[in-house]
Amino acid sequence: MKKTIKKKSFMCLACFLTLFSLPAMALAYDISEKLSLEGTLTGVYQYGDFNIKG
Amino acid sequence: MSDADRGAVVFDLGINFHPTDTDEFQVTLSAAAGNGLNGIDPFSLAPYADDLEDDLKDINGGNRDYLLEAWYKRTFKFLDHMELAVTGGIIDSTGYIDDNAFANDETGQFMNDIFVNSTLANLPSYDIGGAAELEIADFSVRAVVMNSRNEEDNNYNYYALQLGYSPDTPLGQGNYRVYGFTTWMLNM
Repeated sequence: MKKTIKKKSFMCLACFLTLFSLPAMALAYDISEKLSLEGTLTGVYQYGDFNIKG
Repeated sequence: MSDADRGAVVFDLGINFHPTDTDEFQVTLSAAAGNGLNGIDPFSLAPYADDLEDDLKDINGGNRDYLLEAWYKRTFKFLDHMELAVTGGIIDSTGYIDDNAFANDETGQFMNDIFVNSTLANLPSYDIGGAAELEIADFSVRAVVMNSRNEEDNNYNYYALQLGYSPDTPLGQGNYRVYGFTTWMLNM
């Protein structure tokens, strides 16, 4: 039982994700005192290293 | 399982109209291309918590695309330190419950689901509902009622209540929050 837990823990630790994110570009514009717009553009690239044998 | 790499680009647009100091309308739209690794990674929490391409189509099984929020808010001011705000429409419960000044931001602060909201809480988003926010000096009470659908397409009502205390001391501002929620299944 202890061995199995150890093995599973190792697998969990060994699986990892590498993430690259572009900074969020946010733009807010007040059309008038009562009306405003806010836009946000975000990009992300993700790499997952899942091919780990425990 | 083999390695994988994917990307996503998301554009969010918020339109806010407040004709008076006590009335406010908000519409939030979002469009995305790609789903990143969401859905194919072996973890239960999404590696990118923002709403991506698949999330933004047929939102919560309601035949609605891209429209996340559309609500009206009315604020009533009673005394100098007491006000009540009532919101109704298509709302996001995370805007009222489990709020945090540093988390709750999957685009600018964190990406992984685990850092944005508590993973133990059920926090439905983008469905019909109402919220009441009562602020009395450093204390706050927030209540949320929503009607939503879960992943098994079951219709349910959602009720949440949060009590907050935000003291401003010489050491800085603190925030203490206690909240709870329950659901009521309407049909199977």
